Amino acid sequence: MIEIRNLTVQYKNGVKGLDNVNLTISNGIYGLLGENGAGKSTLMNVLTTLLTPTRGTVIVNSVNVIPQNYTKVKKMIGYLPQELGMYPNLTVRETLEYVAALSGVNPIKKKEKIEYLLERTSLKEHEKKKNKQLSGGMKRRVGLAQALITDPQLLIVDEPTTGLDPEERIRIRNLLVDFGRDRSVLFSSHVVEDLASTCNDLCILKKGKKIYDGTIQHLICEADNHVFSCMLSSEEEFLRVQERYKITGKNYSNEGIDIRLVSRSVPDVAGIEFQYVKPTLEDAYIYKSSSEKFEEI
Amino acid sequence: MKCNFKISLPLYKLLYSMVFMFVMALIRPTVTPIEILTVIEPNLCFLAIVFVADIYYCEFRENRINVFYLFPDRLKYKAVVQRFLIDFVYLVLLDLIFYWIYILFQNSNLFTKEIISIYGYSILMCFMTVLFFASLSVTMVNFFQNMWFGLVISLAVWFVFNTKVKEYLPTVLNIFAYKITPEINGGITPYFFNRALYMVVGIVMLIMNYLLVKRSPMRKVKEGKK
Repeated sequence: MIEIRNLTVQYKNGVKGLDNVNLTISNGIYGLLGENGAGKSTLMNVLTTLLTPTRGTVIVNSVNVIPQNYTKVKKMIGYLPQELGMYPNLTVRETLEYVAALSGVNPIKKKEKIEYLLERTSLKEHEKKKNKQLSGGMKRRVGLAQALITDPQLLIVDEPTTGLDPEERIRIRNLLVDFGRDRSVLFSSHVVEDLASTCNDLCILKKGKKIYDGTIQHLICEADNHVFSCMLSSEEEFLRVQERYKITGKNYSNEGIDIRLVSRSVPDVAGIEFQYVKPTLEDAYIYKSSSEKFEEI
Repeated sequence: MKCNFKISLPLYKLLYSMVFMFVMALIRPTVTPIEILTVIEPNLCFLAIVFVADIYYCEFRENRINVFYLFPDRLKYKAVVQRFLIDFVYLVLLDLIFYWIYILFQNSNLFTKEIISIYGYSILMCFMTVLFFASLSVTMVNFFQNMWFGLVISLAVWFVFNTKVKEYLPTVLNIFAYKITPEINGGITPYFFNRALYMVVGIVMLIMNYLLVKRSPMRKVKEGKK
């Protein structure tokens, strides 16, 4: 369980990476959603002790994340960063052996643990391949296996599915669900679909501030009655709508341009008829993260 | 150990180090065995600076540092020292081999008493001076967490000892110093005391790397140097 209270990270140039964030993360997969620069990586860097916060407290499984406890905290964490380079000349098995040795895994349990992870990540048949010969998806699976080698209580994964083909993405998501049964997993992504199929709870960050924290279902409910669709006959009409509303989907068809948008109230554009549609998580995310813009419009 | 071997001695490093030493032997011919010392030692130290610089920095360059940072400090440091020692032993081996290549280029009689005794000097000298320059390079790169800063500073130190500037230094501070001995070794004999002194400095710097390896790689970001 992770408790985050009034967490602020301010850089010397005055930019706030995180601004007074409060969160409680329990066991299972917890999603972290937000645009680039929202503060997701900053939060993960604080949890992995890479960054020391300016203000606030972070408690991971009853251990306060302060410099005196960093050694203890680091032992509890498994981390898969967005871009993790692999030792190009080591094989998959050697990589896991090396990471296990560097993590201080008991040599007797090491072999058993590596066998288990190779099986679970379907890397057994590739164990003798050098890292430089692996595909992007395989590398990501090796990354996940190395993050789990110490059996961490908290697993932090940063956009693990970026750049992968659909099959690999599903595989990685399923692995996270399996590994998240008996530990906390912090899953950062801007692929909404990945979070929708793995998490129950999520947090949305925007410009360092938390704008939502709760269940996916509740977020979707909030967007209910705020998502609309319509069929447009020309680009001019589309531009008129786009000027005033946040478009979440656009599709050209024989009948015209089929669009989807979010709006606080029923859109009002002369000559265009809008219909309510059931929101997806993506619509709900766009609705939530654009809420303050509605006031301006 | 096996993994550290593969990490710190990749094929490209083996190739460029041998090519470097071979080219140096070709473009700077020597006449007497003692002259080999004055050539091979600075060359090997120059090579050591470049060769050993990235044994820890490779974690930054290849995007592994955020994961490497999570390992226990003692084990991280142990891995870095192992990598250092592997590269260091390899460089001393280069000295062992290339001394004979210089001798072959000289067409000297092999295994004379003088050649063997100077060979002993060569091993001892390179052991001490290579250790210093390799350690300096690693320490500077790790201190600045920047390959180029570390290399430039280490190479600047090397240049000081290989230009006229060294003449302004007291003999004890000149790492490549020799004393005149007209009766033996063809006229000059290396000073070992100053080399040993620098070796001790090198060992101290290597120990200090424990603190450098322990630091957060994001230290600069927090300080606003993002």
